[in-house]
Amino acid sequence: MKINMRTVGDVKILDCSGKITLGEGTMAVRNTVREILQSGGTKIALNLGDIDYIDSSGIGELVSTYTSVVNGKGQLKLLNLTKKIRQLLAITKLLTVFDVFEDEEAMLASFR
Amino acid sequence: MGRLKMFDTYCILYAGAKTSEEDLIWAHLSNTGHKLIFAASLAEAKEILKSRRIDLIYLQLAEGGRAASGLEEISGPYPSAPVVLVCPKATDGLILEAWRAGAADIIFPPLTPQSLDASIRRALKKRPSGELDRLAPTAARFHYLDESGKECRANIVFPRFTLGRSSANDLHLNHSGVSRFHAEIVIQDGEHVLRDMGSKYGTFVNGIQIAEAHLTDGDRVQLGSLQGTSLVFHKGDLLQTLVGRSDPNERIGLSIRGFKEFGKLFAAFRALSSIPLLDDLLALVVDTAIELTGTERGFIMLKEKNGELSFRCARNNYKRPLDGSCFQTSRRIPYEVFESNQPIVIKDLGFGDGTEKHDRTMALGLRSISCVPLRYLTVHDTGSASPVAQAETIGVLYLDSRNVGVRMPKSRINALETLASEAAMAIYNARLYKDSQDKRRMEEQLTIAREIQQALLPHPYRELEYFRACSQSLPCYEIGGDYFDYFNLENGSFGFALGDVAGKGLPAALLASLIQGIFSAQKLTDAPLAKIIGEVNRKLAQRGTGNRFVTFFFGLMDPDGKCTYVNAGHNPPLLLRREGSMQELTAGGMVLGLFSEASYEAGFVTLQPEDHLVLFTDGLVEALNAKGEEFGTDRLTLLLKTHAQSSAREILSCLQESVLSFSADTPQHDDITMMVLGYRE
Repeated sequence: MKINMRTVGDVKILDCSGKITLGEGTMAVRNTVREILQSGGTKIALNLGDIDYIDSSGIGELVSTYTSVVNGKGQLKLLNLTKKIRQLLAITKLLTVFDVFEDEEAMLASFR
Repeated sequence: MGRLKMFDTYCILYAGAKTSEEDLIWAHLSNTGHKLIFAASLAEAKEILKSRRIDLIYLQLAEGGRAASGLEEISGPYPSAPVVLVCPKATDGLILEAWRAGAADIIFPPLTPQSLDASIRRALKKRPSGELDRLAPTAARFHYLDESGKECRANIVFPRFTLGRSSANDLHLNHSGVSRFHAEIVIQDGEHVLRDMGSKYGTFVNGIQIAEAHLTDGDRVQLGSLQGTSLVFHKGDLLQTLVGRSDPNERIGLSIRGFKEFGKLFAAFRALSSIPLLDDLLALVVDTAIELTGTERGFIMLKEKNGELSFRCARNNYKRPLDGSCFQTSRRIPYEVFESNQPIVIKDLGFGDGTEKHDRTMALGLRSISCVPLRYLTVHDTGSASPVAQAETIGVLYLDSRNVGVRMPKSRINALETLASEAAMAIYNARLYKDSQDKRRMEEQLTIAREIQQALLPHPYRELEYFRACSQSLPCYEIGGDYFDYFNLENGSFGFALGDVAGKGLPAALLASLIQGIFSAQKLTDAPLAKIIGEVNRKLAQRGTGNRFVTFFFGLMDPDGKCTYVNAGHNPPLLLRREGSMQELTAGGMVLGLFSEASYEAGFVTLQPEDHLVLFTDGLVEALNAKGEEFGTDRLTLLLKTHAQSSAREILSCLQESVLSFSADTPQHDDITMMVLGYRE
């Protein structure tokens, strides 16, 4: 998995692409988010539009990323869920846990 | 294997022979001209030993007999004749014990004429050709300097050793003048014979061109020209070389012989492909080194991952381990030896050059120190250049004393170095052995884990008066994270559960077992189902399993067809009506184990006779075929529709067949578990 970080105002957007599966890329998300939190960032968005595969471990990673952001007094939003991620989050009924956006502008607005 | 000559006959005492084997022993030993006396017991054997001269004793150990006590009893502190132990079973422990107790040889049933002959030769030190000797440390080798001037060693392998420029040779030399297949060494009557294989520029021994020559220790072999690399031939095993070189006036013969014996036994351990006794070996090396150098303490220090040298074996000159894990030794010298790969022998720290740099060591009361690197060499043929001798220094052998040391002749320092290299090799081998053992142990544990997991799962088929349930679990690895269970409740209801732990393999299986445990501890009739599931979730989440979660489905079926269920983030099971319509069972809440405050609601459906419930884990719908397509819910529902009127077992087997044939060419990448329940079918 690849992560590209951009900053829009005070929001850090992580553009993720590739796979989020067991042992592959899950640590990358966690570490990047931890670094943002440590450097004082609180507004984080994961853009998952280019994730082509995710398994249940990847879903678990999204949840623990969410938890660590919330515990760090930050906010995490998900942007551009693929059909597969949306489906998995729906089945596991975790969709309600996340703040999900299809539109970057709307996502940015929600942070203000 | 040559037969014994008739005039090599001995008076042999055989104690404790088994009746079944007496005839064979008698027949063979008398036929080969030996005088044989049987003794029924140890006591009888001792009486015989008092009255006549015996050349060789065979001592047959009873099942479970102790080698040490038998040997002690029969030969006392001063053995009058070598003792061959005949042991009922070949165990490493017994071999080691026999060796420690001073047995000359050890053999195992079934006794054969060959094994008897071989043991006589070995025990009486006749020309060795027995199995142990073949396996003993290398019989001969070449020492030479490679192009970079590094010292290399090439062991001359039996029965034929070839030299030449081609990498197909045992020793591969890339000099001008060396032919592709230049020369060979074969063994003739126990001698190493060097033959030129029609090389272009000839083969030289000690500067003289030869077609064929018997090699003797120290011969200098050159290929192609007298300017080429000199290969110095060394014969005899390392230990024989030691014995041969050691000064006869020095009282080190005993320890060297002990070590030589050990070398053979060590080879035997290797032959039994087990080196479980590294500590024993190291202790022996240190004891021998202490004896060789006449020092008081000896240590083996090994390099740790952090580059520090740590104590691995610490012994005193009474052949006892030193207590503790940290010892006051010179700090500087072991590191110097380790870095430089050169031995350091200082017989008096307070005398000679550079005494001031040892002030701290002197302050510890130490006067003499010997330290050699633990180094092993392997000759590799890299295929391109000349064979590369790879040397690795893994630590040092360090000896010290509070007394001024004796003068150490070069031969003794050599002996010490040889000892150290044997120890290094043994440590290296033992490490390899341990790695493979760890792997095997892990595999064994995995097998046990699978057995436990299988034992925790219920029998896949269960029938009640009104209900039939069947399940099938296909783990992707040895063990998996899918789990199912059935419960017969006191009130006549039937409970069924299906869970899928995120991830695969052992960690998932552990968590699956945890859930099963938590669930079994809940009384299913005490509270509404949704509350029970909430409780299970809280317990799981509180255990903090990180980001691992469980998708879970639990259903309670009453005899009248009413079904209460909770779906905790699991792929919705399907209620398959008899006429082919389907309904997803989605009510419940989120997956278990992530959020302790999550709440759950129950769903209700009523089954009609011959309706079915089909439960499955995501491994089923996500099974991939060779094209990378998923099995998918569409395929599943179509399949179920056509089998709506089949029995639960038929539906299950048809699901299994169809997913297996769908993904026939691709490895299963997730655990697949299915459960089909039929109501009054």
